[in-house]
Amino acid sequence: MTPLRRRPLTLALVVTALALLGGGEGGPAPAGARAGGDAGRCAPLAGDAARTCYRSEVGADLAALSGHRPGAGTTTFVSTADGTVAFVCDLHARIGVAIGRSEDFAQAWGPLQ
Amino acid sequence: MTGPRVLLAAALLALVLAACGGSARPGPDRAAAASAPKAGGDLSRCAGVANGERLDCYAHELAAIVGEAKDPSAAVDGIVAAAYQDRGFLLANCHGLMHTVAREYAASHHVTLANLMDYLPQSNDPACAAGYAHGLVTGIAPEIERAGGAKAAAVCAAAGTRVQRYSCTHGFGHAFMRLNDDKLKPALEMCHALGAGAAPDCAQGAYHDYWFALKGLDSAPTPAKPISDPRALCATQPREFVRPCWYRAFIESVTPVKPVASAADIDALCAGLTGLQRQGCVTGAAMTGPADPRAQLAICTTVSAADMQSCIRATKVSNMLGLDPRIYPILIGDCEHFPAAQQPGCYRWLGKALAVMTDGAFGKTGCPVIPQPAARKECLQGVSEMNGALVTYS
Repeated sequence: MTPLRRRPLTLALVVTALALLGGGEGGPAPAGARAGGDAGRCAPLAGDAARTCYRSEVGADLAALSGHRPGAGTTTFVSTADGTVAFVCDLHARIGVAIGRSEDFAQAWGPLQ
Repeated sequence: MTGPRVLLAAALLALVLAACGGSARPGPDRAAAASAPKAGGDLSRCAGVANGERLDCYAHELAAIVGEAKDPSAAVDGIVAAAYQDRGFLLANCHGLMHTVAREYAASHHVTLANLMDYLPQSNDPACAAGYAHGLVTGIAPEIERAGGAKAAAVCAAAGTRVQRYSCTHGFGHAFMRLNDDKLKPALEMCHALGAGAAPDCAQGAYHDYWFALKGLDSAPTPAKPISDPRALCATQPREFVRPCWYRAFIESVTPVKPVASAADIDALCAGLTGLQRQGCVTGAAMTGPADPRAQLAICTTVSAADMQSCIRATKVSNMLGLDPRIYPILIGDCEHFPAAQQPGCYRWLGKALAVMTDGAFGKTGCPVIPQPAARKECLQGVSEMNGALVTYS
């Protein structure tokens, strides 16, 4: 390819990259942006589209609340001795997932890690 | 048009589309939307809310999210997935929160017995989804009464999986309590009418609501003569419901019980009890133990032989939901740490519990990988019992 023919191709790549950066989800939020997701946009959806949407938007809300990106947090399993968590239903303390840390699972499931 | 020129045209088109908001996320003007207040539910509004009001905030926002959803069942499934991804405050409190969210939803959106199945979440999650299912059934209590009480519970047969059927039956226990002003006796009579295959699981829901009532949760009416001592309460219960009575007695206790970490701790909670009362107590006590089911089982290997099976019944298999299913056989493999006479019961119970959690799949993917033929057989026996009353499963 001659330099003359390469120029439109290079320009195309640059423009595409700019378009993706400008329009992608990963760009920086504008000043004054609300925190978290927007579950309201999932309201008209149904089925798997709704599931995916709510997972994403509610996940973004939760990430904003906990100050980390969705899925980026360490899997932590609470000890039922952790009195700092106000369990509405104490039974589900044993679901084992909450604020707090326990090495229980990490050790227990070692063989597969 | 030459190849490079086509590429340039495509790139320019991409630029135009991006400028017009042609991304996956709809919205006429994202910058404007970003600064506008969100309509409907928004959990991020709970940021900075004081601990005492945090649950109320979550309940309010979750109710708004689910309330405006065209497909509320899918909304709950999505919330479940997000909660597990986050593994934070919401998941830890999701069950109780969803009880209230769903109960109020059922009342305001005219959920009926006939369309109940359309609203039940499809997830087997025992935290958010189960709480939502329990709350929905609780919310249609008046309809259940009109339909003839126990007869109405037949609707649970239509639930998609064993966990969902169990959850539906448990929900009827809550509903029967609300129909009877949270009085156990008439509620348990309605549970009894479901037959031996479902009555204990219904009773678990009834006792669950009893503890709600004692603690003033989920708008459950306070009993006229509340009994908060599990020994006093469970000693007077029908024999068929003694285990369900004890099951939540310590973890739902009005006065917090220190989680057990040893056989001595279990003994201390159950000292002086005998027979079925002792068995129920040991299960309830073991329920307060570690979140890790393997750590729980390890404690069970140290209790007296007479208590071992009751302790094993408390194993929190559902804590493994969402983990790699290849892990499940590791848990049941721990049965080999029990004395030989205890192992068959261990393999049978965990086979049953894991089959419930996997809607029977463990019989095909889990039991067969157990190396010992006798243990494998017991595991499969447990799987074959998964559709009977679970009594102490959750």
